[in-house]
Amino acid sequence: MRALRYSETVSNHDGGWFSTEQQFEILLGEKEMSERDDWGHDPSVQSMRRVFARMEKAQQELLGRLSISPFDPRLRRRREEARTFFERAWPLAARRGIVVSEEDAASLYAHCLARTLRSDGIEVPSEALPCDERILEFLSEEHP
Amino acid sequence: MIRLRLFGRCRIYHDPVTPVLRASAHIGWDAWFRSIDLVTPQRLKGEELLLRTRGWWTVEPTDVAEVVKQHGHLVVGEGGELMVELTDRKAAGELSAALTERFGDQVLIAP
Repeated sequence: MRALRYSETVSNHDGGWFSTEQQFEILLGEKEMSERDDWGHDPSVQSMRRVFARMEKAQQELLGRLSISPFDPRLRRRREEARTFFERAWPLAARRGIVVSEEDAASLYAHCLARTLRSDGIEVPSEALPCDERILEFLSEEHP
Repeated sequence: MIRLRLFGRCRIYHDPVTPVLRASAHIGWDAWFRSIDLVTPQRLKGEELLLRTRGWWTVEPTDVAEVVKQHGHLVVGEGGELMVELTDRKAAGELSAALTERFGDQVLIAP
């Protein structure tokens, strides 16, 4: 397999994710490639990295406030549900102009995770979550 | 015993990702003097699956295996997940600390 040049990866990138097939084609399996960052110059990749980093931070903060161990076995199912919930909600919220920034996306994710945790009987006080009335309103309307 | 999945960071998006073995490898045979119809499905072992992350994660999987094996066993879960089997949460905490010391935030263990 060979490395795709930066220009090739950009042309394959359709404003969203690289597909699995594209990743398979792009990624090399060569040891030294692990240390290179061939995608760091792509603005859309940079943006997604920031979104994911903020989501991870929001998740860590929420679990920390709730004193939930990172090894708690309930987390696997709840994370999967939160991901599904978030993937449905994010495009709709973006179209409506409710989620416009990377910080908004992280906030939406935190609320999605909180919902799934509550369904497990875990008490999530509203103070533990980012305060965003638009997101709260959106979720109660679209995903009651 | 507890089992936790092993995550590395995607080289493109830097989010935590873990490999899942969706289907067994089907190994067949060719020979010089006869045809062999035998095809055997084989599941990868934990370390074999970990090594398949080379180029997908930001870190070298052989380095990860070296650290993990000092604390637990690499296994493939019932759903094909790459997991570390550990004696208890204390061992999980120790492995997590060792991974952080060696790789920063690039390798994580989680349910």
